[in-house]
Amino acid sequence: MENILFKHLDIADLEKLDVYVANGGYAALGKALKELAPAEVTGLVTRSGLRGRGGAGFSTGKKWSFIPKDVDTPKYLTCNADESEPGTFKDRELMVRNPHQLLEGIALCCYAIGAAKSFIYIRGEYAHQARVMEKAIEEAKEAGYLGRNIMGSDFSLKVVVHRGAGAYICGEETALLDSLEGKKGWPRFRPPFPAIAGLYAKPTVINNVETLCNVPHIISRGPEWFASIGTEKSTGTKVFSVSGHVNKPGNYELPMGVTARELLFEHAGGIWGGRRLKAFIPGGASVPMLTESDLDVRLDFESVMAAGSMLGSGGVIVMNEDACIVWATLNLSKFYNHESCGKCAPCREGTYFIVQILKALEDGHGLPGDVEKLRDVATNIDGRSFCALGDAAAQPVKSSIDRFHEEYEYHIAHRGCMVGRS
Amino acid sequence: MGVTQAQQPGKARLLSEATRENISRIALNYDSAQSVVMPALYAAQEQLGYLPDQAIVEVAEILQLPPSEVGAVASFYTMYFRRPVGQHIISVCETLSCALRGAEGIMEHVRRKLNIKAGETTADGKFSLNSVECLGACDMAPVAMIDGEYYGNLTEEKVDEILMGLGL
Amino acid sequence: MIGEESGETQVTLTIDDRQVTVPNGTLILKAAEQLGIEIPVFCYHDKLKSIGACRMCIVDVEGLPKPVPSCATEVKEGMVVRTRTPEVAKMWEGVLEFLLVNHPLDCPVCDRGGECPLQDNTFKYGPRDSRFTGEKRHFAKPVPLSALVLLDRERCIMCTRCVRFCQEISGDEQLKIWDRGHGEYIDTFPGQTFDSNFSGNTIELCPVGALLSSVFRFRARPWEMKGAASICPHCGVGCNIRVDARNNREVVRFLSRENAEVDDGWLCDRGRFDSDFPNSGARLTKPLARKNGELTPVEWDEALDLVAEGLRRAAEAGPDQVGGLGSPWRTNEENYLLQKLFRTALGSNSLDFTFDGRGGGSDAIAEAFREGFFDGSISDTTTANVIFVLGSDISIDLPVVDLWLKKAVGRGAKLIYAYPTAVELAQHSQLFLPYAPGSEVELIEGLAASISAEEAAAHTGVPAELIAKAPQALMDARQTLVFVSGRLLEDEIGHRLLDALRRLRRAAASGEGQEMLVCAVFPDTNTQGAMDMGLLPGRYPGYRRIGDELAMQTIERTWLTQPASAPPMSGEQMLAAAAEGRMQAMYIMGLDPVSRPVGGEEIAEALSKVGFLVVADTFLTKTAELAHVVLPSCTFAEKDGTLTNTERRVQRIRPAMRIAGECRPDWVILSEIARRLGMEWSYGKAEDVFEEIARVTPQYAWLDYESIGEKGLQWRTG
Repeated sequence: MENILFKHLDIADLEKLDVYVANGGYAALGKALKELAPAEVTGLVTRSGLRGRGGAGFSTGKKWSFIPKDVDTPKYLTCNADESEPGTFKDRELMVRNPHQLLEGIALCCYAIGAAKSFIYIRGEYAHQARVMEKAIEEAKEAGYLGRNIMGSDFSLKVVVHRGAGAYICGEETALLDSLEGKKGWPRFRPPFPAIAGLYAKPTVINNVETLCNVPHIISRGPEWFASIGTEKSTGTKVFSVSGHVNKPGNYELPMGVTARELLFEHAGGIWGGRRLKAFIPGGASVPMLTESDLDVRLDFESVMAAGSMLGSGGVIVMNEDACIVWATLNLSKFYNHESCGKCAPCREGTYFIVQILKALEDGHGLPGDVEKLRDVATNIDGRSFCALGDAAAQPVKSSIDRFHEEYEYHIAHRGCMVGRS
Repeated sequence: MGVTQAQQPGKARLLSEATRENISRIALNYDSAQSVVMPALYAAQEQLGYLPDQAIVEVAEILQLPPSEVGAVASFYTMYFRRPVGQHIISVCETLSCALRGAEGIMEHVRRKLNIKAGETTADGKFSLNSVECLGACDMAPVAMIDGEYYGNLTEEKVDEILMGLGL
Repeated sequence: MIGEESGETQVTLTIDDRQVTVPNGTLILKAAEQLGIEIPVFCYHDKLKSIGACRMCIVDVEGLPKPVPSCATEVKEGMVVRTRTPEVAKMWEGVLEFLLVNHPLDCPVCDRGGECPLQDNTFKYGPRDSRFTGEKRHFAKPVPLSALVLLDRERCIMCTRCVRFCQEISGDEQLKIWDRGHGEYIDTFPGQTFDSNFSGNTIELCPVGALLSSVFRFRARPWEMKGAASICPHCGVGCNIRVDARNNREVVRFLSRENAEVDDGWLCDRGRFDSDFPNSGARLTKPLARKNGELTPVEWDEALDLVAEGLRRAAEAGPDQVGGLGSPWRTNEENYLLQKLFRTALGSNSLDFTFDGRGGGSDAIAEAFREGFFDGSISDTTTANVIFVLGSDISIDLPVVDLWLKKAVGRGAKLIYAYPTAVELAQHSQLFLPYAPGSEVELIEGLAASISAEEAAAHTGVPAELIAKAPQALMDARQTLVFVSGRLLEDEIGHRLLDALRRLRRAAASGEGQEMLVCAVFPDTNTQGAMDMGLLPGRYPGYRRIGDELAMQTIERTWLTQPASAPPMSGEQMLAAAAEGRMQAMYIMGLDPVSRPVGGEEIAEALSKVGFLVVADTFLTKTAELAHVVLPSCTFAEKDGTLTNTERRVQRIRPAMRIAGECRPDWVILSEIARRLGMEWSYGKAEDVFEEIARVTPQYAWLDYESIGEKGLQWRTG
């Protein structure tokens, strides 16, 4: 399989502007500015079938098309680089190793939606990545790929890097907007949707880094080419971040629809320590766990959904048989409790409740009925919280109970764990 | 965007001219004064090491916002420190991918070496230790962020080496 | 939001199998309310923006994948909503369980217990048992946010109503949510006191027992209290309050009782927390009479006989030797009867309610009221395009109007603030005009562009370019609302000021459909009513001139005796006469001039020379200490009556607790005195007095207790 987003694996120093340009970089932008009307760019992206890589999998072209046209108001693109989903680290590599690919994607989107300003909201911990992006922006500006009258056209664009400061919730697009406006990262009520009233209450597109990185390739090589990769409804490649109990953790760019088995065993080097696979979470921590019997599930939006989970961010966390499922669930639940923004009661209090029950189970103080209680509490969060963080918090709990019920019960009956800790 | 440099007479200011100029420059990137809050807090923290209340008041003054609003925003994000922190800040990731690769042991090791708990600072003010959530570097688990830089594939030996380099 | 204009699109939806048609944009919660379907809420409040955060009100909507918050979701045509399914019941139970996870469940020692939405909703919709067995979050408690407001963070459910109040209503942004997630808490900026003038409203907004009043804390349980619909006794706004008394024995708190025309549901802290005075142990509870130089407790009969005899004898010396002083803190009925007593039994027109100097404006203002010059209302702030404040620090003079003005500014009204110093509201104004005191007339001339901005600037010290901005704003405004200080109008320049305002009105209301409304600012509770009742030198009730034939005839028909036509003295003049030993008798009701910060000593000296001094009051004031007879009056919490606020709205107070000791309402006391002076007064209740007021006072002619009702009515001219 050809590397597309991960061309940096084949070409040394691709993060440098001259190397990027020498390898066809900014040609897509040049082509769009010269030959395509903004709506045509959106049309190509729509036809490519590109879907958001941040987790929700919404049609990117459609999202762009929601931006009101011919209204005399500023519009914005906000690039979501707040990569904080546990087990996900693809955007980090995409930004550091090929920053101009992202900038070109940003420029194409802004041209398509009529935005003159774009913010890259990057998680605070990615200080190095922020510096790389800022440097790339400067270079691109000097070379005429950003800034005033890009490549001689009348399209101008300012790109600003905005650093988060340690809040998972800001990956939620409306919390991100509030954070970008200098507020606490509390999600907003929708409607209005960001396409109508987003940043500064102006029409705004929010796209993930990986999503935007696909755009130059779609414009250069055409939507048909893009749609020929992957599956019918999940087109293109996906960068899978594999971590945990595998021999070769890392990012793997593979066509949508690759099986989990191929990803874990052929690319990620198989299960760590020569042990058996116990569970894997296919789409970042926020989706239901799958087990060995799901290894042949194809990793595309539809297939993972059909298997009872979600493709999410494509961050695959692998656990071998030495991992205690109660311990792992407690670990993730603590994460959600720590990252709950506090706006709504189900998430703020529910994640706290879950942690308390799991702690008791983990410490050997669990009581009969605790597992049912735990599941019910998770159910009471799921779908009732203000934003998807609450839903996310419920998934590890519900799915781990569904798949490893006896392990939970063992914790209660024997006041301890049935597996050795990793 | 509502940025002012007005000074109240007779009041010692914490934020330097350089920091203030920096904030004014940053403000040009944004389309509202409040948007400048996060980068301005970073700028203040960069100068002072943390964000004493007075620094928050000054940032609020510069941006013409209520101090309570700026302070509450600062309190929401974990990377703004509202109490003094050590010279070196060690943040060990303990979320699942790192935990599966031994983060608990690494954390325990650092705790023993520094003789402090997570969330504390050594008595000499040299080190602060934090337990943090996923740093987005699970490919090199277990991982820690030390003074803003990532250190991956940590082992106890590697930790010793790093700490030695920081003067422990 | 919800529009009321006709022609607005209507939407029909189904809630729990019943159809309802509401205007487009209505929230599901409000549509359900119309059907009488209750949906529990916490973060939602009618006066605050919807945030849909607490999730208490989530309901199922057919076709939607997830439940939606009914407090933030607008209705749609054909929408099918379900609130009473087992699924919704489980969701509500779940949300309540979550809210109780970190709640201490200490209802037996909580002020809110018994009137707590969290308690009520839990009882109705919550889980029966607590499944949470872990460690609850702990905070130090209660935290004093100020001397008045305490915060119990463990009880807080983070509905953020208090925070949004500080943001959206009072605008002081004092309370914020700090930290995040399960560790978040409400606080002010570190080291800052919650010193908002309106902090107490957050206590009432709080749907749990987290925000507490230090005045009310641990004073009473809800079932021990009875509330009376009354009016706040502390300023001229006349905010509607519920006076809660414990066991009919002591007033324990004031709560807001929303009047959409007056207070918008808010109270200021000065009003809300000064609720204890009726309970004071220092109250006068028995009449006192001076015997051997000492004020000595006596029975009512003896005291009243002494008063009647003393007044009668003094009056015989001549009507210019006796005078009465009413009070801006007494009811209309009481002030009315005081002047009636003097104008009938004692033949004197020397009546006032202040000792302060009355300049030339006094008569001008009376004339302006008579002709109906003042026509502005507080609620006109909701429609005015331009609001012009002259000479009043509204935040202090009429605190709750401060919120009305901020609300007006929030919806885009232009606020022009003219005041000598940069008071808080000036910061909210679009145009602040800091003029030199005494130059008000020239300032208005400048605004009306009847003199040049430069000329106005030379007089007022306000930069000409600021003054020059005003005329256009006034020209452009469809409706201009002016709040002008009553003090200024009473001053020497009052006459000219009124003329200037008349010219301004002509300028600002020159165009088609344009109008300028004017409201006088009287900071004291019933200044307006005291004037209306004729406690003005030279004016009978309703501002009719003494000696006016027609007025005298009308009054005589009701009083069955001719009202006095003797030349009047103002309070200031009475004082001057007293200082020269020319006052044979004075009756002072509810006024304590001796305690004034400036000039009190001279007043005391003058009053000590009055031949016979009667003081009726609730406390033994410094003025009362000088009296020959002291009569113990009821406070506002122990009687019926009416007060007229600064915008001429007549509102009722009602007894909230039993009368302290042997106190009597002043209208009863005055009736007793009148009877002893041979008058045939037969008022069985305060309402009887008011009926007479309506007959004698043209502006009140159309009012009675029934029509005044719960919300009050403004008086009208003509």
